[in-house]
Amino acid sequence: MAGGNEIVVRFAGEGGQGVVTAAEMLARAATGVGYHALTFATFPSQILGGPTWTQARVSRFPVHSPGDSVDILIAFNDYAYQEHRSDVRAGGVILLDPAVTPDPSDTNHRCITVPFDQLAKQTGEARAANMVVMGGLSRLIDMPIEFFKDFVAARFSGRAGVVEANHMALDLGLAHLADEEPIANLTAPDRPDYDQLFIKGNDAISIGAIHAGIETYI
Amino acid sequence: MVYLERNLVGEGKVAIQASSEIESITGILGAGFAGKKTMTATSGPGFTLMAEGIGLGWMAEIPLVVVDVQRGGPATGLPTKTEQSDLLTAISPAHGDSRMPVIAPGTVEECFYASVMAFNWAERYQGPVMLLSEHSLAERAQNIPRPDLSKVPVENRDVYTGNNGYLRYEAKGISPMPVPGKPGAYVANGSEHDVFGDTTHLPKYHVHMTERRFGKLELLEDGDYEAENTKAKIAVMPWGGSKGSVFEAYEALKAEGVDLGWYYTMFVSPLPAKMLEELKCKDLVVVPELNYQGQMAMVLRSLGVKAEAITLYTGLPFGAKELAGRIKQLLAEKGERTGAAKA
Repeated sequence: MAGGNEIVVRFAGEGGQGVVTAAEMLARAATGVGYHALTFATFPSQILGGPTWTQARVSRFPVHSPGDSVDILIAFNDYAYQEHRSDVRAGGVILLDPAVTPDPSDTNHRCITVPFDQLAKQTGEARAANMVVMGGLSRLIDMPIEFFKDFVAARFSGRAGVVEANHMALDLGLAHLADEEPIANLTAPDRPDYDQLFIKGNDAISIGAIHAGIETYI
Repeated sequence: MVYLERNLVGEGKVAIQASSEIESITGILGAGFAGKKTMTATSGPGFTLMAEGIGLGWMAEIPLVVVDVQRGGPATGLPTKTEQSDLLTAISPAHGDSRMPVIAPGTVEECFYASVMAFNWAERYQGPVMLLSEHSLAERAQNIPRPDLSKVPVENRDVYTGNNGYLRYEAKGISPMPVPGKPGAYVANGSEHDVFGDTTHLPKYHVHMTERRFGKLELLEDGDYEAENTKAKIAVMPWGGSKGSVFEAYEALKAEGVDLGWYYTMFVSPLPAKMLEELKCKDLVVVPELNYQGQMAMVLRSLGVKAEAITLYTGLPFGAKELAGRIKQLLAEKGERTGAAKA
């Protein structure tokens, strides 16, 4: 099992599959309960399609970079699996879409097939595949599912149906990986004793501009 | 842009989506001339399109902020990949004799402070300031301590309050800026001008105005910087969004016993004067940066610093472990014994 201080998770797939928001979702949920997190995103210039990947590094301590060694890869298609599996550390976990056949010679990694889309459809919210992933992750990194459920409740506040579907997706993902050994058990975080924001660089520039007294943006 | 559209509201405030970069830069030139605090943001070729307007801002001495979120180039290049390859362009985007102040934040938290300081610099020296971000930093989401706004001072330009007949460009250094419609009318001129702003080609005015414009940059040399293990003969100095990866590489090397100094500032042009003097005393300053030419190392060498770049131009950021190895390799090539070599 990896050390208890941090975990690096990479999501790889195609533009439009929710890959970009997945890392942010994990990081936001983790920081909400006191972990430190930082994301990295790289995507093609097409609005839809094209290889896309994002990464979230979650730690008990402040982090400064996206992290070198991937503990868990979520590969939404075969290209993503082939392209990124060499970045997964020995002993790391790869979650695969059923359409992807893992290389039988790959004995370095624990490959687990998860029917993301099929499980999502069971919730009545086909776009909840991300939440199926998060549910599975909560098992793999031994993070209480309530962290994610609280995040969902806050994110979709006032939309009870959406919250219910996403909670169900989290439970389905967790149940699907219930028999898997966690790859890490992140020690409970020491919640920072100061007020925090979870924002992107662009937004931080905008907030700074408003504080500085900007009057005209063109 | 989306954030400002939602939040830049209230009387006298406006966020507009212009139809072109030229429209954006000329729009904020007008707003800056009219006394407003103003900003635009762009990336890649859009920044190049703004070059002429930025030059006008330097010439006519109009405060404004241009955000350039760097991505791979040139031309359309790698529009959604990260790179640090606009440094030279940001320092000198316009033709002719000019040098723009450049602030390049290295973390999400610094993006906030860099933005405030970009406005402060623009107001203080009365001219354009380049805020140099990059794709990986723009898209990076991170938890940061909530900024204590009471500890972030905001500067405002020195406004002219006298009578008409004011010679706006007479002083050697900074001079109060009139507000259009109020006493002190002058010509904000893109051509070389006399002390009132009227066009002239006389050598004495071009000398006076050129020295005036460059002289104002001295007002910006007091930026903060980080320094650690300053006695080491060799230092590492990242800039911009590579800061985090380089810091982790530095920490790893320090743990191995490598005697390496650390220098960092987001005020990349002009550099803090005291920091520059310290860098000049080093046998070697290693600059990891995401471009082919080693642009910051080039700038440092032009300032008298013995600098050498470690470059990466894949469209992706540095990995800390790999970078630590490359720094050790460079030190070994330079004949420096590292902690690991001693072991």
